[in-house]
Amino acid sequence: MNYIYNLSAKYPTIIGYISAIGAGASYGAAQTVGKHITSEYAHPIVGTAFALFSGFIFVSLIFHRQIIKDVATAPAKGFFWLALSGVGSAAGVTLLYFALDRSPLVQVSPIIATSPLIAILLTHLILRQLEKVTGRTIIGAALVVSGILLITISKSL
Amino acid sequence: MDGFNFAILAACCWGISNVLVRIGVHSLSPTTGTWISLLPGSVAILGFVLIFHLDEILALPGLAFIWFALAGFLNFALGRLLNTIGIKLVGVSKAAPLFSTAPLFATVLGVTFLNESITPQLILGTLLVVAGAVLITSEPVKQ
Repeated sequence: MNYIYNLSAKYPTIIGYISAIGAGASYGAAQTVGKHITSEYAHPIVGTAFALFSGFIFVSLIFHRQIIKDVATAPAKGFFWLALSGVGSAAGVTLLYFALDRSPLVQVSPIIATSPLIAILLTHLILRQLEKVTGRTIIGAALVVSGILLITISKSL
Repeated sequence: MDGFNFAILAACCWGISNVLVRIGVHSLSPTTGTWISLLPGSVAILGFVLIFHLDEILALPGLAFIWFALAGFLNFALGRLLNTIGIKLVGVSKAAPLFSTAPLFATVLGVTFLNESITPQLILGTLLVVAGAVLITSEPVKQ
């Protein structure tokens, strides 16, 4: 783990982009596994609940040393904001199921795909002192969202 | 409330969640940040399904839990950790569009392993995603 920390300190931008794309790839692989779970075994919310709990157990087991150290020393406000982000993320998953329960995927997925644009708008409004949103980022995000819309709509038609 | 409104609320929740990660990870390591972000959601949703879907859970075969664990590792351990590291190192505005490329990877896996078909929309969509990702990642980040 120290090796990864050293790498990210040395090449923060490259490691940051690799991590972000890696997160997309990992979420994509999880969607494929999730499709198998919902078609063969369980209701999506049951699958999500157990997947979320196992993810929590994996992280607790793998990083227990760092977690214990941070719990003892890190400021409480960091824990508060990240716990709140977890609540937001879990609420998003639950709301998605409610949306899919009431409307077809072809109507829901285009709206869901706009979440990065919402994140960019909120970053511009709330986090101006931490990061600057550039025109190039907005155009890039719009292209990514358009491409994802095209892929998800063509698959759900 | 119809599906449209729920979908808007879900998209807003994920957008807000990413912004909160950016604020929180400023004073916490990404690993502990990932751990604390998983704690409330896992307790809440697991509690919810144990109350409302207990019969279904008791009828599940053992193999289902291995699939749940695999999904959990990919989505909530590895995916969420990389998500947090990405936000910490390059910021929300650049990382969030890259997270949303997940359907592209899911499609590639579907075409490779599940024999899903390749359509012109899929090719055009992929080109747009790649162009957007190149545009975002080719811009220098002020650390």
